[in-house]
Amino acid sequence: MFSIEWGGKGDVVLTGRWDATQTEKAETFFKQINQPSTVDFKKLDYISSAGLGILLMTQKRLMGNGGSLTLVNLNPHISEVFRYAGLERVFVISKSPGR
Amino acid sequence: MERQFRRSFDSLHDIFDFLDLFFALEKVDTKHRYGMYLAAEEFFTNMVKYNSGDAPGEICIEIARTDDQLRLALTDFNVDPFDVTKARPVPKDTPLEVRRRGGLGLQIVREMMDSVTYDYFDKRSRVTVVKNLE
Repeated sequence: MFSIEWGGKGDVVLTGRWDATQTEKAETFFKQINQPSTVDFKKLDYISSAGLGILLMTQKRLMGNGGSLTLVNLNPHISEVFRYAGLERVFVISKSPGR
Repeated sequence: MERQFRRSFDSLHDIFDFLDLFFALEKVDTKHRYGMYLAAEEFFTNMVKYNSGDAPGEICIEIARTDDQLRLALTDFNVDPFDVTKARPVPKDTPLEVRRRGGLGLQIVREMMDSVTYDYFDKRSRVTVVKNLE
């Protein structure tokens, strides 16, 4: 199960398992983001390259407009995935919102 | 354990259930599971997307445990050779401006696993990953 929705503070809240079957849903959601945004991974258990690709393309688009995504609350496995892909260099990654 | 899965992204949830069953039966530590999920998804979706030839509808996934290793193998039947392990890794310091969407899956799996090998025989493509259990 995977869900993606706006949180109460205007952040993007991811929940569950983000695998390749969720590409269309996630792509549709992230395409509507046009300003700097925080993405909360606290309830996300899993992400594969399908999800990373969408985040990467969103970051690329936002950076072109002077914005960016900030990723927060990544679990240790997901942090490892970002590190192995070299993506901790292209996103601002924080332990919690506002830090 | 071995099972055939329909050549469709929709099979991913059945594949994760299959792996969960194996992990439970074999009492595999949770720290070793993520890499196996990822390897299964990345190679399965790769086979679904790219393998050519007169491929039938199913891909075989085998997973096994020895005292000190987990071994996962995906076999695609009646296909042309397509060695995914030959893909060039994306350098980690690649700037965002020139990054593309693809190519990350194999790179991450390579980093997480202790070996990733490909072999082709009798029109079968097989990718095998091994994780050492410490």
